[in-house]
This record gives sequence, structure tokens and C-alpha cells, in this order.
Amino acid sequence: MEAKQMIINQLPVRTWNHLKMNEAVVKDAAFVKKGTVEVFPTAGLQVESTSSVDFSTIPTGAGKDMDLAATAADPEGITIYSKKEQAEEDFVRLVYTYEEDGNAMNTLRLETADDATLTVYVEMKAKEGITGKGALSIKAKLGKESCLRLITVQKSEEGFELFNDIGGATEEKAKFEVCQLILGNGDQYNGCDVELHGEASETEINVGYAKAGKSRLDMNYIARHYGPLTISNITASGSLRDQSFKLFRGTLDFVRGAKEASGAEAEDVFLIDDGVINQTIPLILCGEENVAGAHGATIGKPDDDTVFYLKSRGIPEAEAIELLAQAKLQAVVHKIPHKALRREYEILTGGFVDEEE
Amino acid sequence: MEEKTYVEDVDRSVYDIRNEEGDNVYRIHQGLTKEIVMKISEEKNDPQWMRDFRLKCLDIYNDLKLPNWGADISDLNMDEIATYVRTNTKMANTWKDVPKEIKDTFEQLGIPQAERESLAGVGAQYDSELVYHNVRKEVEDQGVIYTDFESALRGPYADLVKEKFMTIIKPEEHKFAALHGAVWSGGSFVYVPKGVDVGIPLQSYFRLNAAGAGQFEHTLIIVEDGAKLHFIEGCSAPKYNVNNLHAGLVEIVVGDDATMRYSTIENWSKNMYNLNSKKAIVGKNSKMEWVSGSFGSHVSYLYPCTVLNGENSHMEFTGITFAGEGQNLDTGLKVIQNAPNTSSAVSTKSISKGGGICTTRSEVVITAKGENSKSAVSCESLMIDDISRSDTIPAMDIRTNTADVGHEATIGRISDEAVFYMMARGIPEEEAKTMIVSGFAENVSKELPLEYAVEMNNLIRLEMKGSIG
Repeated sequence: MEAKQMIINQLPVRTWNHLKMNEAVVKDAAFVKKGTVEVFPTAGLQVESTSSVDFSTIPTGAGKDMDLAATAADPEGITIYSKKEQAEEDFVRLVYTYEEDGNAMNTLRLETADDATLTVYVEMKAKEGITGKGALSIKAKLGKESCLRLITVQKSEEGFELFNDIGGATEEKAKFEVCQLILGNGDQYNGCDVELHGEASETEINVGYAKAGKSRLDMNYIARHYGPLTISNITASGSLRDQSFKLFRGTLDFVRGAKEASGAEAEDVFLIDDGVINQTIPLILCGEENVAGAHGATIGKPDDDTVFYLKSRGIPEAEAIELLAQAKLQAVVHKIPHKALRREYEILTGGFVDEEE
Repeated sequence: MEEKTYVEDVDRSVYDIRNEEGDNVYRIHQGLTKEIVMKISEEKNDPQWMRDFRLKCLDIYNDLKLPNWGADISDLNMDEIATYVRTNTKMANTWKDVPKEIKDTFEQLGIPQAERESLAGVGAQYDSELVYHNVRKEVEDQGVIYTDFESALRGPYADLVKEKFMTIIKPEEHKFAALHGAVWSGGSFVYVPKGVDVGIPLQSYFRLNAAGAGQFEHTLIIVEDGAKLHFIEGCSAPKYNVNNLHAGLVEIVVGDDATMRYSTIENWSKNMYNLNSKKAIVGKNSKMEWVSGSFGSHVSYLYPCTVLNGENSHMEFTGITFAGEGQNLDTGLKVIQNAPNTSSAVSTKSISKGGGICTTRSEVVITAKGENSKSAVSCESLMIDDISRSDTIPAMDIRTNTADVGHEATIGRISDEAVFYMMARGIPEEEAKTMIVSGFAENVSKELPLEYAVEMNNLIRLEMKGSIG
């Protein structure tokens, strides 16, 4: 395999190099094949498999190197175009599996026409014991007053790296919801860049993760506010165990002209074991006066009072901490709109399944 | 037609007094070469170790690249900067012995008056050398040493100075630390013995009068166990149409059970590149406080750094940055919590107007040794108009599971609701806005001694006119 290096997940504005947060460097990054993908649409879903959108103009969170690699490895990919409002129970589920050693790359292009809706579930699963990389480039174009819900669930174990790279662009009053579950002890890289062009368009990004072992999670989420009255919310919460490493980059970028835009980003991280490394760099970039941007982060051990409360109810400390860590993931799982899949992911994440639901 | 809220620029007239460079001024050739560094060393009659150190720093400077982050400094051409300029006068310890034009400048800046009223000692640097240094006898009698750096290099504390000089900020840390090591001149040495509480502040004031020159003063402060000190740094320069450079360096050692406060009101002129470095190493049960007001300069890189090496040590940073037209001020802080039970509390505020750019950059690191350490960081930015820019870049690197870190940042404009509330109580709109902006800066001004708080408030004399459009 050709030895190739990629620079991904770059901060929109650089900071001190000694922090090693400006970007991620990926070695052996030649992608020469596609991953296996299965597509499961619900019976009622009415979508097309072609789109006239020029997706090359939409940037992604991982950035140009990943974009170029994706276009080269899987130029056709899968396209899903929703021209209408779909029934609430309809969605499409795509399952990308990696069962052999090596690097695989796929592309997925999504479009919603004006007033249309679409819900897409994407799973990236790597077989245990294999080595290599699995990458998926997802780009989305949202028409006026349309809504796209993208739920991604990714899991890999040590030796296999996953790359989940998203780019989105919105027109007026469109809403792009991204919900992500990041699981397993393989190294994982997530990027997401949403350009809020249309007035009053919106994005909501919810990320839940649980990392353990010696795994690395490297994230780069960007909400770029171009249009007036645009709204963004980025929330990432999770737990780190053993000697795992996590780097969260989150950027709210208010470009001049984004009048009355508002953005918020929040991070909540449990550091469960000694030996974990948590890096967080939440940027607010502001070239417009009339905006409101906010960031909040809470990083550390589980709250003593909460642990004490649970212990006083007869729950051993280790279980109490486990329960609190689970709650971080389940808060994201519970945002999944379809009951059957929600239950499936509850089981996958080791959460409590409410049979009465 | 409604008039947009207008905020007056900082009134700099008092700082723009300038003295023409006469025959009694020695100015080294512009540029940065081995010969120039050797000439400075010769002028200053350096001991051999310092001469060698300067040359080593020059090599490091030449090897290091310009930062690829932060405000653009590509217009700063070292070939156009004279790194050493001095008036042919000896350092005095009474103002009457200071040359009249220099004394008048400091009089207008209010330094002698401040010394009389509220300071334990004053050092006044004019271009590359100290022209005045004095410390009150009662402070001296406590064993406190406050002297110019050149005297310290040769005096009874020479070994201590040699031991500490540029070991807290090493020349390898960045290009402008290396530059400083090569061409430093002037500055102060402060030594506070064990258990001594210097009740009233010491102040060093740095004035760069010469056009196209650099100022590279070195400050080394050692606060021994159980001691307490408040040190104030002031700086200003008149405006020229050529670049000036300030690359001072402050090294602070705080012993155990000690308290150190370092306050700065920085008001360089808008042709100044202010690439300054400050770092404190703090012992157990000690406290390091930074109070910082950044108002001047064309470009600033200023991030006081604190290394909490002692158990139960604490750092507080309170800072405000005001960037107006033509200014790109990249300011913030670093804290490395490297011992158990350390804590840090940070409050930064920035105001951008008239096309000015404020970048608040921070770094909070809690190492694996920092068990049960805490950090709380708050960054607030205010945008006064839509031609300015304000960026917040806070980084956190946490390597122990027992840490407790909270961070919050907000960015926005003057709240319409707050203005409306005050107007509903009979306060005119312009006054309401002025009060809100003044209130925004209040947490910094209340941390300063009264006369400096007044100076700061004068610096950000925000005159609100008309009504918001």
C-alpha cells in the first residue's frame, strides 16, 4: 500500500503548536477500495438516487485531504434525494461493514428539496481483529424549509480506525440534525462542518461517546453562520476510561452578515480512570456584532454529590459511576426518533432498555 | 436618521508626547547580526557568560520560525529595528538628576507623583536603559532588593541572577524569547526575602521614545517563602509612522506560602509590535495573581504563563483587552497545574471596535500530577460594531481523572434589554450604554490600585453618542 499522510480535522484558526490540537495527522492514508454497504429503506420511503447538486462546494469537518481522498476512492457513491415530506416512520438505513484488512472509503450524498424531509441512519461497523481504516464522507444539501436527520453509529476495535466526515449546507429555514454515537476501542476521527447559509436555518449536533483502552477519539465540529437568524447547537458528552484519549474541537463561526444569529456549544466529559487524556478546544469566531455565542464545558470526575446520592440509595460506587457514564450516552440515544432502532442502539451501548416504552 | 452607537477611541494624547532624538543619544545600527549583539554586550560591559548567552540566543533566534498562528507579524522587519538606544545619562535615584526632557515625560505620565503617593519603589526605563530607580528606605531596610537589572548582574545577587536568568522562560520557547536573550537591555531585579510583606506596590515604567527602535527589558522577581509583593508594570510610547518593537521578558519565582500580584497597564502606541513574554513558577500554598489591561500596540502577543508546581497553589488571572482601529491584540494566558490540589480562576474580557481585532487565547493544562486540581475559566467578549472582530480560542488539556474544570465563554453586543431596563428607570440611552460598557470592565479596574484604575478608566473613556441604529 502506498504510504500517504493526510492532515485532517484542522482548526479553522490555529493556536499554539505545542498543544498539538491544530490538526490530526493520519499516516498510511491511501484509500484504494470501497467498503461494503447495504441499504435498507423502509417500505414507504420515496427517494431518488440522483441529484443535480454540486457537492464539491460543500466543505467537510475533516477537510480537503479527506475530501480529495473520498472523491478519488468512491466518485459515484450513494446518493439519496428526498423530494417530499416523508412519513414520520420512514427512513433509510445504510450499513457500512469492514470485514477485511486494509483501507476502505465510501461517499454518501444527501439532498432534501424545498419542504422535504429525510431521516438517514448510518452504521459503520468493523469486524474485530482486522486492521486498517474505514472512512465515510457524507455531504448534505438542504433546500428551503427542509429537514434532514442524520444519525450515525460507529464502532471499531483496536487496530481499525474509523473516519466519519460530514459536510452540510442549508437554505432558508432548513434544519440539519446530526446525532452521533461513537463506540468501541478503535481510534476514531469525526468531522462535521455545517454552513448555515439560509436565513433562520438551523443545525443541531449531538454527540455521545464512550472510549476505553488506548483508543483515540479526534473530533472537529464547525457551525458556520452566514445567514441572519441562523441557529446552531453543538453538544458532546461522553466518558473516558483506561488510557483513552479524546480531543474535541468545536467552532462557532459568526461571519459578518449573520445578524441575530445564535450559537451554543457544550461539552460534558467524565474522566473515569487515571491515565485518560482529555483535550478540549471550543472556538468562538465572531465577525458580526449582533450575535450571541456561548460555550460551556464541564470536565472531570463524576460529581461527588450525585455519586453520594446514588450510594445512599444502595448503589455501589463503581456502579453509580457506570450509571452516570451511561447516562451521557443514553441522552444521545434517546434523541433517536425511531423506537425500534432506539432500542437496538440502547442495547448496543449497554443502556437500560425500557420495555414499557 | 438614527445614529449608530459610537465609541470614542482611547485618548492617547498624553502618551504621544515625544522628545526628538538629539546628539546625546546613542543608537546602535539597525538590524540583528552577531556584530550588533556583540556591540550591545560591549556597551553593557556584560560578564563573559552573558556575552556567550547572547550569542547562543541569536543562533536560536535564527533557527526558529515565526509563529504560524496568531496575528500577522510579517511586516515586522528586524533589519529596520534598532535594538539598543540610550540617552547618554547615568541612572539617577532622585528625579532632579534625570535629564529635564525625560523627567518632564515621566512627570506628564504621572510617575513621580504616583511614587510620592502610593509606591514603595519605582524604576523608570527610557528606551533601552533605566534612567531612574529608587526604593523607599523602610522597604530597603526589610531586606527587599529592587534594582536595575544591570546592577543586579554585578552586585551581591549576581550568582542568583545567573542561576535564574532565562531559565523560567528559555530562549528555545519561541523566537521572540530568543531575540530577547540576544539583545535584552534594562529592566528590574526584585528580591523579597522570606516572610517580608511589601505592603505597598513597586512599579517599573517602560517608555520607548525612539522611533524604529526595540525595547527588550528583563524583569526577574523572586518572592521567597512567606513573602508578599505587588508589582506594577506600566508601558507606553509615542506614535511614529515606522514600526517599533517591544519584546520584554518577565520571570517570576514565587516560593512556598507566598503571594505575588503582577499588574500591567499596557498602552503602547499603535505602531508597536508588542511580543512580550511573562512566566511565573509558583510553590506550595502560594498565590499568583495577574491583573492585565491591554489597550495599546498595533499587534500584541501577550499570554502570561503560570506554572503551579506547589501543592495547594493558586492562580488568578483578570484581564481586559480593548482593540480599536488598526489594532490586532492577541492576548490571554497559560496555566500549567502540575501539583495536587492546585486551582486557577480566570476572567477575561475583550472589547472590539472600529475594525479592531481581539483574540483571547488560553491554555489550561492539568498534568497527571495535578490530582484534585480545579480550574474555572470565563471569557466574555463585547462587539461594539460590525466592522470589528472578536475570537475566543481556549484550550484545555486535562490528564487526571480527579480534575474539575469548568469553562464558559460568551460573545455578543450590548444587551438591548439591559439598555431598555435602565432607560425605563430614567437613565438616558447614551448614559446607559456607557454604564454598561464601563461595568463590563469593572472587574479589572477594581483589582487595580485606585490611581491605576482611574488611568485604566481614562484609557477606555467610552463616549457613547447618539442612539443605536
